[in-house]
Amino acid sequence: MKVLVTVAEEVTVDDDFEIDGTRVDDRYLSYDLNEWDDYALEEAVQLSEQHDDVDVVTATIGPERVEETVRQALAKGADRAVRVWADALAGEVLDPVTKARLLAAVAREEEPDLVLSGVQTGDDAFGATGVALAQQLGFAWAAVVNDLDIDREAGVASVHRELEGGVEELTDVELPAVFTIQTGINEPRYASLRGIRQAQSKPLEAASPSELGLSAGDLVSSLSVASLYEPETESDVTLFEGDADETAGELADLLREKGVEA
Amino acid sequence: MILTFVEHEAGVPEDTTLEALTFARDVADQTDSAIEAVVFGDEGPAVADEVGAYGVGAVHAVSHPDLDTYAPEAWGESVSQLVDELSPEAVIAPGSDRGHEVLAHTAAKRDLAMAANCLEVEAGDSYELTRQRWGGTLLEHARLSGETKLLSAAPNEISAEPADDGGEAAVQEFEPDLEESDLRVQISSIEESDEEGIPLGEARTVVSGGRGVGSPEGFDKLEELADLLDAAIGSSRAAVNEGWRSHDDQIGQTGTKISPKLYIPCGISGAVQHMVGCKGAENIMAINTDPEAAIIQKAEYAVIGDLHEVVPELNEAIREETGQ
Repeated sequence: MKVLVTVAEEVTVDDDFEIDGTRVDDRYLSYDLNEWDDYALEEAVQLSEQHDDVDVVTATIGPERVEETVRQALAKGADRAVRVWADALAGEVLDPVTKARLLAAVAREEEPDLVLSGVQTGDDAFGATGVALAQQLGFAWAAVVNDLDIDREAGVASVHRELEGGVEELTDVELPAVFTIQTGINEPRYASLRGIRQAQSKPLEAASPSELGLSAGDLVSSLSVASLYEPETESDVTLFEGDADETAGELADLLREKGVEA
Repeated sequence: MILTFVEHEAGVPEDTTLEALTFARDVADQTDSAIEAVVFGDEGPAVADEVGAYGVGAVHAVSHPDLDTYAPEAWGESVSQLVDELSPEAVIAPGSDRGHEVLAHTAAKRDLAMAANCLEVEAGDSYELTRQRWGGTLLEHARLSGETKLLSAAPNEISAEPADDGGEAAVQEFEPDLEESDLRVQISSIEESDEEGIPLGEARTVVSGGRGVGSPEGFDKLEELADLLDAAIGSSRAAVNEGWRSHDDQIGQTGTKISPKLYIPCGISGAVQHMVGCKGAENIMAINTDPEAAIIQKAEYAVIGDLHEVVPELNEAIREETGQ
């Protein structure tokens, strides 16, 4: 059984930053394994620990820089990694359909039984790439999964989904399938020193979209970014800076005015 | 025509849907189009009574013998078939989990790009959009082209207002042509979460703590405050990473999103990931030692002080006032 995990970089913006055209200047960005994907990866690695015949392969879109993040995934227990990129993609905001085309091309080569992916990436929060991927592959799909139980003989997965407002759904899904994994489903491990050493020698293959059978037209998005800027904030904060006991009385009054005091 | 996806609970549209309808009306005015709605479930007529006031002229009530619960692929397919039949100018969904999910399916089926979390639109041949990135920390001007524009309205950003010339919405039944494969993911049961106390996501008042709390025991004072205010308790990702609180308590982009009347973050700096989770709060009263902390800029009230001193005093003051 093969599990494909999509792994993205999580890009975090520092509290102070500058904008360079349509992007945040690189100096103010830090890169890490996307928190949501970390849970998806952990779920796959746990499966491979329970069953000897489970192979975990990661798929990542990004330039050579992302290999550092991909190595983290290998250090945590993935067996192999594929990175797909073309210089033409640099500077573009990839919309979910385009991202899904790239990932689907990897999936067609790998023919996984299960694709796991994080619910979303922090920066654009579409949450839509998993859906588009399932659609393009013709796989079943379930999102925001917070409990996953696979019956390998029947080829069915029972999944719990978490919806807004604390409501949970239970769904049976036939494999092959794409699941987007919610944070909190498991406790992602830290890479061990041994894992980090082993990761250096695990296969990490770089492929271009054309090598995976995609044409330039497959990468044209109908969503393009013209500019990026900070919203104007009108801070009209009321400050309380006195002694704690003085302030406490004023706060208690304020709370009562606001009608929140029980 | 602008087709809007309506999410409702027993016939009452969700707040994010009313926001999306208000947003849709702006697009409709610019393009001189009508607004119609797509509704799933048996409550089409009840929904029509509600959304007519928001300028919706017709409600397409989707029903199918095999479709009695939420089935994301089937819903996306149904919307896609309505797009074939009605050729709307745009499909607009609320920026909620289901809104994004259904829109994403529609986008994937039609191989169209979608623009999520939009705030403003200048509608022409292509749409010039202002939309949120990084959970609203940054805004983006973007251009969306394509035959049918797929957009979601950023949640908790647009104030929902009925139309001046609202009226009655007609109900039209629509039975989609669904295949078995569209129905392979369906809800088999729904469980209410078994967490004790007030669910974070629904609480009217929320007290939370971050790195500044310093220890698991540090949360005792916050728990006390929460009890006094009948509030739910939450935490930042930092406090969860430290192992002081469980992930269930986490407020933020990778945790629960809250929308209380009053939010009281204590010892939380207000990193982007946290602010995404609490931007639905009506008022923020921050307690923090650092007057430069990002959360102070986002707060209506800020106490510059040590939570370990302020919170016990506050608890005391509330007890005195209320005689608890």
